[in-house]
Amino acid sequence: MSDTNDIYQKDSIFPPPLVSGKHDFHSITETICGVVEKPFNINWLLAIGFSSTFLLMLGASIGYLFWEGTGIWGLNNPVGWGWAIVNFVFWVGIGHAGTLISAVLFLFRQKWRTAINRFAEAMTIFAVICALVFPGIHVGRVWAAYWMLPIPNQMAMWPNFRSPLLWDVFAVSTYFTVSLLFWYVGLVPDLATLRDRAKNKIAFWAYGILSLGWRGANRHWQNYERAYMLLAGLATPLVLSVHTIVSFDFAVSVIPGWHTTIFPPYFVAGAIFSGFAMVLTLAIPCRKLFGLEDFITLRHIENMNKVILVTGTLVGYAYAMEFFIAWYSGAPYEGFAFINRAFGPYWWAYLTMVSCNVISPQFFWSKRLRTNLTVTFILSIFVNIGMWFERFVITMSLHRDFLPSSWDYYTPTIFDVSLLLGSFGLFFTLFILFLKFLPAVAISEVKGVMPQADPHWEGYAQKEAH
Amino acid sequence: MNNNTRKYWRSRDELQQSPVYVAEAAKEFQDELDVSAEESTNDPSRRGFMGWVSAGLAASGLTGCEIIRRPEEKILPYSVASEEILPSIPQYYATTTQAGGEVVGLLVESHEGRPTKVEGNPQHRSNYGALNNFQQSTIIDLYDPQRLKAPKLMGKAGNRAGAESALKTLGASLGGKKVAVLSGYSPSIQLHTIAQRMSTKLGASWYTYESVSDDHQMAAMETVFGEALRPRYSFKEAHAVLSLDNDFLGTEGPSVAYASEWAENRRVDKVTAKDAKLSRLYAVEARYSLTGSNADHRVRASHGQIEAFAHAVAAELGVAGASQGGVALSARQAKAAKVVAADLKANQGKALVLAGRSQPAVVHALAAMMNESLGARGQLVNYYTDYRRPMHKAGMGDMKSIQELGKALNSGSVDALIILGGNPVYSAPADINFAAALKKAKQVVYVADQANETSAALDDKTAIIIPQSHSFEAWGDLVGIDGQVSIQQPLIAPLFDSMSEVEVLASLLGDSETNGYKIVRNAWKSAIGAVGFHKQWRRWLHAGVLADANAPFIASSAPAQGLGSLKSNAGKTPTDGSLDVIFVAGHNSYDGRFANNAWLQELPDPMTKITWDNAALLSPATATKLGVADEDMVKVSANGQEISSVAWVMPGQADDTVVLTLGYGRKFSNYLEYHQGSYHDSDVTGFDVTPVRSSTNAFFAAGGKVSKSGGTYDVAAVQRYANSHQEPGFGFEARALVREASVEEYKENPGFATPGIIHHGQPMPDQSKHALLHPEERSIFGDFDYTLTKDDNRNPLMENQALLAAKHQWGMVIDLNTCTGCNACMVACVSENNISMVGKDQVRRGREMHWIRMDRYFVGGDAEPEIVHQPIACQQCETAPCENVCPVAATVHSPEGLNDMVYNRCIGTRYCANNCPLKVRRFNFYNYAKGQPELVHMQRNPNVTVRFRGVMEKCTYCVQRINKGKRRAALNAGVAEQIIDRITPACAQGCPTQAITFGDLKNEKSEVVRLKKTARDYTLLSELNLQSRTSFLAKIRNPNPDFPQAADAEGSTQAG
Repeated sequence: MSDTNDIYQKDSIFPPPLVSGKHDFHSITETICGVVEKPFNINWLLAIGFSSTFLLMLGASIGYLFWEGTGIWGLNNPVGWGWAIVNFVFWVGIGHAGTLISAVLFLFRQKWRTAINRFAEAMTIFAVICALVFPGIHVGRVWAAYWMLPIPNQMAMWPNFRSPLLWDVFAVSTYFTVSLLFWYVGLVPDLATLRDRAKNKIAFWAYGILSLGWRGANRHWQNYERAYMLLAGLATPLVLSVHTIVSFDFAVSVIPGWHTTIFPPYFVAGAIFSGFAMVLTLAIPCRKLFGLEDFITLRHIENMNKVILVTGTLVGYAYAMEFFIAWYSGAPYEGFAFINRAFGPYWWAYLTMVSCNVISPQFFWSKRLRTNLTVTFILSIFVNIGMWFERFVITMSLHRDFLPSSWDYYTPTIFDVSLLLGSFGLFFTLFILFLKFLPAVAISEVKGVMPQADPHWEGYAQKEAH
Repeated sequence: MNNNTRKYWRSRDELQQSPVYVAEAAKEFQDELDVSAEESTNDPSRRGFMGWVSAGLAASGLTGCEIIRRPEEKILPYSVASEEILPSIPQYYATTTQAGGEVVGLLVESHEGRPTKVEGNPQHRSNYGALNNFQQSTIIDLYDPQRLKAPKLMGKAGNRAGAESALKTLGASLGGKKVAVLSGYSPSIQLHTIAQRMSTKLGASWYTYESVSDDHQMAAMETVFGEALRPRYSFKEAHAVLSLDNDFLGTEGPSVAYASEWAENRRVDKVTAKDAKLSRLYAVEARYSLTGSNADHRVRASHGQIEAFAHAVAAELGVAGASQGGVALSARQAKAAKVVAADLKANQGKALVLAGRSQPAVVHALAAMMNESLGARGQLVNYYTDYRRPMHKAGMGDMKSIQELGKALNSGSVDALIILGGNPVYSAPADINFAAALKKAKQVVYVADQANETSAALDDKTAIIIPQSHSFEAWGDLVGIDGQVSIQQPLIAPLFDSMSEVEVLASLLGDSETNGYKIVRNAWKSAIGAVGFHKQWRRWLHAGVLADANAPFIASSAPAQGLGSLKSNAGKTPTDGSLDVIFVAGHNSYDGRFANNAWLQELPDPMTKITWDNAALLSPATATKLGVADEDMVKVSANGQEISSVAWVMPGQADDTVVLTLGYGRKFSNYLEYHQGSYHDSDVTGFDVTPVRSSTNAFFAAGGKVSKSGGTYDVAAVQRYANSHQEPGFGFEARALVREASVEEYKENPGFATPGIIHHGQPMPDQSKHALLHPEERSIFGDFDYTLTKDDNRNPLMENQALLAAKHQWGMVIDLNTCTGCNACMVACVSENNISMVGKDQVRRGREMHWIRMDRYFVGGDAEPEIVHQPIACQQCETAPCENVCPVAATVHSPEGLNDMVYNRCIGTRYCANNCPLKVRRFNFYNYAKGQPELVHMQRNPNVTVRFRGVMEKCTYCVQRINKGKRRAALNAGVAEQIIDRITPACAQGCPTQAITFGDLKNEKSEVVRLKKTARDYTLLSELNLQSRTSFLAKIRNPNPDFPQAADAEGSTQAG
């Protein structure tokens, strides 16, 4: 870590290199594939053991839920949606950064993305998987949840296309499909590398099948580049649309605190905010653990911190604007909803949300802080907490709406908590499996941004590289 | 055909008409089945054999056929006289029941022989076709799995025949021995008759005890009129009413009839049309009762001040002997008394004074004398024989009665004690120590509905415990307060080996006839003579009531003799910081007899909104003084005893007063799955207050103490006082949910209630401005197309529906001015729609399932707020927010304007409930019906689904009743309009004051259209463009301009 810091802090007028250390193409392959090919180490086993315990908890919690019904949660009459929906929105939000980093930054030719895109995309896929758990299980009659899908049936009964929940089904599943394809297409050359290096049959066959016969031919690369570009183009609008549509779940309703036109941009900003925070939360320990400091450099981390600063400030602006509009609209219910949000029974949640989401990113104005890994790691966790609370605060608008007679309070039960923890178990289990079995950094792409990849690189003349 | 000469034949036999063929052919096409002639049993044909076999099978099947539990006696349906029961067509039988001596006429809906729903008999003057929550809930007492199922004879289980012979043996052995009978109030002619025979034949002494007793009234009547009379008030002509702590709209007297009559003079439109006045109600009370919340002026006074108030008003009215008494009035109260007296005087002949049962006898006497001097006698109040106590002796009130019985038992002189119903061990005040006294009886016969505290206190070796027949299982005859007699005909043969009280006594007396039916019928036959009796009897059973000529008593003409020597016993102002303790009958528990009735337990108290529990109610100032808050555990001491309870702040209650509700703290073992296990933390509902009760003054104790005992208790309240109070930026006025005005304000601006959208916290002055602000306030999906075209639906059935679609559009109006907040609609809805009761723990979690709820809001200051009630069910919005958010289209708009809820389609996303601005949708978080015994299923309405877990539900305007009405209208084209007009949802039908009006908005002549056109009509949250089908008529109070303002009425910043 120290040497990367040193390099970086020279403060040259040129941006620091994207890959630090003395790497050539071979050493990149060795380093990244090494993570996959080395035998299981104890840290990894401990990590997978820990996370799969939580995954088991998720399974048990869902099993009991299916057996007894949604009554095991803390839901009540005014508050029909609780942690399940909070978790859903939270995970969908997390799932934003991956595609944003991959697709949008790819289209904008932001080469620094190469080190983290694989990683971020994997995080996206797993976060969306976590998110997709919830819409299915939160319904009262889980065995009929598939009725939300437009499956032709003998009753000619279709879903209600006016319902934002249905839009959600389409938006999130489309996003998941495109993200998965995008990720997989990007993986193909690297899978082929792993196949070629495989030392046992199972790995050979597994990577062999997954790499779809990739031989690194010119034609392959040409098709690959085109497919990747097209998918990036397809994924980019989805980044904006998916959370816009998730926000419609709230914005289309009539409930004060939900019925707000600011929600789509505010949710997208919040999603990017939380997504980048999660990438950092994952990247900082991983680069250390797997020795990837040369690929995920401080420059990457600083760039992400800048995005967090911008989006966090956007989110803060949205919070302020909500209050302004609540007052400016003159609607008494709206006005009450926001005063109640800040000073009502859930003041603590609101306070947590504001301090984590608005105050904590402001530290990143300081270059010293945003290049400090410890500070970044802690603040990224704060942002994650804050964004979870943001969804909680919004969902809890339900607890006091129009008729004071029906006001109540929502208290989570142990099953709500186990679902949230369990979803982290699912996420980390998938993520830890990913780290072990797939290349966590896009090998071919990183090689592409190496100085050696430039045909005019002076190093060729010096014959330093291979 | 005859011209056709070509012959076709099938066989040669046919062609030749051979004898064999002719015989067989004749058999083949017989005109009728004829088994008699040729098919004797000796030579059965195939057909004959099958016939005999199937007849035999059917006959043997009949013996086991107890699905239809019709009693063997002849009973008659009220209106649909069909020879046999048609499946799915319910029948209605007129019958009657009583609780605490209050008789009501019932029409009980019976599906295939099982009673399912209780409705009121419109011909009965004690309830005019409506019912209160107790009477409606009695149906689940019938199917209570905890009922006693078999007699227990000296510790051994027996059956009915065994019980009868045991009683007979016992009765024969009682000659010359001391027999005591204890019963509750029972205005039954047969019981009175047999009580007389118990006395003459066995020398039995009769004791009557009711925990919620009318002792003070009885004492007053015996002083004023020289005999035990009961006043029957009439509110139809009453223009000024003063209630001295009498909760006549809630738990006292024939409250359903009273509420109904009182409401007649609160119907603003009718009253103004007649150019008559809106009646004015003054209530003086220490606790906050329903009557108090409906009063135009409520005077908050301590228990003792109520008496002083009565004296002050009586003195103004010139009642001889009215002077001083009770606790000194404040200056404002004294002024109020003068104003009230002046108003009563001004309404001479149209004014009425009532005294409540917890008030001392002198207040009752004062009320009676005031009514005399106001000329109310004969018009607004009539006095009838108090027929509730069999074998009544002057001066023997309930408390005296139980004291004497206790003494007799303790002296060991009672050889046999017969307890007819009730639960005296639980309900008798602590000083009696009835459980100990009971042990001294040598032999006890206890007729009980279920195992309870009393049956547990009995010694198995000496006790005969007999299951008590439910009133829907037993024959009887009951006399209403004004002498109106109704026959109690059973709906169902006794489910268990139970007996009615009369049958028990008849067995004990060794009568040859112990069958309730024959006892009742024979008695009436001998009363009116055998000639024409049969026809008369059928008519009685059909109508449910007898002609007034058959009344056992008529209005008394005994002259009022003045206050006599009645003295105040209300004590003086406490100076030692002690509290007044007031005991009140529970709105839902009454005296504890309904403890096992989940419908009542889960019904929120109309004032405190607490379910499944009672609490020690304190005024805000007293709570502050004592340092207790809502849900703090407290110790309440009075009469030298101490109980533990939970504190609950009740604004508007008198200071330095603690109100304790009777009827709680009973062991309760519920059968509902989700009341048990991990969801259930206590099998006791509420706190027993009888230990601090004394038989010397059963409703009041001075010198009480309340102190914090540490710890808190989670009260299952469905609406909290703190919710609508003490919260930032609440702004209740801006919400304008309940809109009300005084008569003067209403006259000035009749359209005050329709100010359209609320903007910047201010109501907009008129609709036109509303339109200006929101020129195109429409659903983005466009209006619902009520003229479904054929293209929309390929299903031919739907075309028919499209034709019908234009025909009816349903709507509802709720008059907040006549709604008293009594909760009868809630029980009616539960009963009709198979609504699950979820238990205390689930209510604590906010998961109660009532489709219609009664919202309560406080208005004004903390000390003396007014209270308004507002029933809220699904408003059937035209642009319903719930409809468009459902992803599976499980809640959809019907062509008749209802928001249909399709249970089968619902997957339970709960989005609709979230988006419902009124939060009227209810979700089945669990399978609440799980594990219920078959017996409980018998109550279910077969026309309504019992919802499974994970399904949303809500008010449907009783769509099953609408459809039934439409079907009947289609079959009876001639009277179709009348049939459609008579379609009534359960809530509207059960409402004692007819505050709910339902009808077809397309019928310009309908009552609902008339009401919707009145100026007071408004819809809730109209600014959301909901276009609700349910609208409200604003509340109009009729305050007296001279009345002194409440101390905190002005300058209060918080309302709500």
